Amino acid sequence: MSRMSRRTFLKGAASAAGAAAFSSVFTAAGRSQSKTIVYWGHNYPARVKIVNEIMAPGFKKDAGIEVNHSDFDTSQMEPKILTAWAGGGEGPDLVSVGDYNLANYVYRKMVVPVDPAAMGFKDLDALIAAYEPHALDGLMVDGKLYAIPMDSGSISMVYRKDFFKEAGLDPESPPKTWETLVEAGLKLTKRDASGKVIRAGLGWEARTTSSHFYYWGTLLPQKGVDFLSPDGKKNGFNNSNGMAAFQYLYDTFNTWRIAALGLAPTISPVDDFGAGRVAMMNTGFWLPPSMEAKYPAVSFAKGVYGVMRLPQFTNGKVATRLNPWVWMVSARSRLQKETWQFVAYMTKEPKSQHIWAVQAQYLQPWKGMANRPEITAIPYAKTFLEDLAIGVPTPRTVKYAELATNVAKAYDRISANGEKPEAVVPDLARQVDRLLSE
Amino acid sequence: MSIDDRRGAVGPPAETQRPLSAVRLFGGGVSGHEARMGLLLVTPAVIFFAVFMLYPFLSAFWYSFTSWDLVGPPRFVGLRNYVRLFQDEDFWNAAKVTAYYTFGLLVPMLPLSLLLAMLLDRKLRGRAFYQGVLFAPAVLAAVVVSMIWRVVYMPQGGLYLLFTAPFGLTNIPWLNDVHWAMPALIIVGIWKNVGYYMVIFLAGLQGISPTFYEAARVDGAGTWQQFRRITVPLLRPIMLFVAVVSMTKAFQGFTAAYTLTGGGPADATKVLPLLVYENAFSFNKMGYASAIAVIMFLVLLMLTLIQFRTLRPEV
Repeated sequence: MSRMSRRTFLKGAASAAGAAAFSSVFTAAGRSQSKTIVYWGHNYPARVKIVNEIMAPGFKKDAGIEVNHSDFDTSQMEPKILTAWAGGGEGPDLVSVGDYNLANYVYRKMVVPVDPAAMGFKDLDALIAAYEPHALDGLMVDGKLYAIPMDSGSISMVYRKDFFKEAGLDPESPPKTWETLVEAGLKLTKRDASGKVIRAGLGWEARTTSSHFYYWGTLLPQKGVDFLSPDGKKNGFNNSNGMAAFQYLYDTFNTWRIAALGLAPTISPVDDFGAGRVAMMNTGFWLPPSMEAKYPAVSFAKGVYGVMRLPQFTNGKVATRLNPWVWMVSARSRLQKETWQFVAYMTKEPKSQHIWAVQAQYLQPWKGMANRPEITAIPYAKTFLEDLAIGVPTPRTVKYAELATNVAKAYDRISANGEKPEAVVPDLARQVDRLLSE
Repeated sequence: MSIDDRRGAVGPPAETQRPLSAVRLFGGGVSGHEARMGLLLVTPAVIFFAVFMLYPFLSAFWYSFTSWDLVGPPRFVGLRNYVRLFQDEDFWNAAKVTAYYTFGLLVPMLPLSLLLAMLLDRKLRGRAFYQGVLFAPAVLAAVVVSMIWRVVYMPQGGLYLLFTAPFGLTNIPWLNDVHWAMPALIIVGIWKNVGYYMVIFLAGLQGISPTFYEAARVDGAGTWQQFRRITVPLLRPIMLFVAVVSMTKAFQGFTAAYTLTGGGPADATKVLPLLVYENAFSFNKMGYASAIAVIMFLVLLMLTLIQFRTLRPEV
């Protein structure tokens, strides 16, 4: 290389570095000046469509503030949010996540309390009064409200009426207890010549580590216990009631064999139910619209499937699991006020609430919401609302992610390994106690 | 095969030879201008290595002695992460799973790569085609490979049935059974990598002069003796390279376990890199994750040194 060409090379490199530095400064300044709210949420199609097509463009038009919305697979979203918020950068201004994240986010000062003024309320009391009584209790820490509900779901059950008829069961009388569900499950389960299950009578959803708390994990509160003790300082299930709940889970896979793993290439509740790989499945109010959009032949109106209340144990405690998803605002956001304004835009106006209710079947617990015509017009809404009244929250701990990972492992040991609860439960209890004591 | 078909003589491959220019650069054999130019040209690579390799490694080493959740400042905790690590059953499980994956992958894959290379080293109709077909998976992105194999492993209607159904094997729970999940990942690993190592072995085989084989045949050596006495010794530098690279890659295998099984069922496929990821990004335990990463590095370093000792070319 000649002397001249080396000089040219160095000049070129210096120019490129200068341009890169200048452009990064320019971009950062540009973001702050143009006021863009960064919003991350999960990839539920109805939610994504509402935000992208209605809420973000509407807010831009009304407030002149851009919303940069990204959606992620549910199982990957939480690590992304944690890393983005924790890792030195700004991360998203706004997230919509399961409310079980609240304890961790608040403990680590990653989110800020709700700004009632920005949301158009005189004060916090006025905001709380606009919701159903106690609807926001689970979102308060030390007298401060940290989240606004996007959906206050609970878990009920869907079942395939066509399979009920095929199995000689009355499709209008689905099982009310876990005991009678076994009888139906045995008739609904289909096996091939080798005896392997090709259609499960009962589907336990286990899509993400959190799913375990919502679905089979509901068996614990129905036995009067839960994953954590009431004070949250140790496990709450290493006892006879907890063992009975785990035993039921074990029996569905290994004794009665009405539940099965691996029927689908992906574990998707929508696909499992819509494609007929499971006959009964516990799920939330949100599932029917997205399932019917993908599988139009599986129609509630045409009587292909039905909705029933979550079965209970004959001598147990009446309960289901609450499954609320909430909006929270980053403590690092430079647009906190504007972001709470956007949340208000998305949920405060009756027009917005109507959109969420009709298009995504998200129930936002504003006062009187359950009696709105758009909700009462949904034929199965009553069933979900009845279960909502008996809901118990997911465990609240700053160690939620680790707890969920250990619970998922216990589920795998029971369902995939066929290990008995006597072996699995003490191990899980030890792990839970250890992580709570750290 | 004729002598003309062979290229080059026997000797260590280029990457094991000492670069002449490096010797001369500091030995006074080059002008000052050339030396400065050489330094200038390697500077970007050195900076890249320092910024993206050395600095992160030293940082991870430091963080392994701290408790850090990425939010507050790191807090020095001495050897606590290491003490906890050796008492952690999840770590030991992941170590066993990683060993299973690494050796389960390498033991069948490397001989198979060599065998395929030897087959393709012969005059064979459509050799380039076979070479291309076998090498193709190596250029696919790991996530794409996982998507392909997800379809293959579908219990009902999966493509695997083309091979197993004639033997009455159906409904195999490849990804949902603790006993099947790891073999499933190993099969994916072999499929993706066998062509890559085959090409490297092939290059090594084509570097061996045919005169050795001709002389051996004249002396009455059989095929096995030729393989044992000529091919293996002269291929040792290549074997060393392949062994080190393949073990390093297998030990760090992450994508297939993450995308196909998520480490399950019941941690049956939770390899060490997945445990590092989980602790770092799901639990935000950066100090503990760094301690696992440091242990992984030390184990790999030790295994590599053993490989160097056992496979280095005999002078």
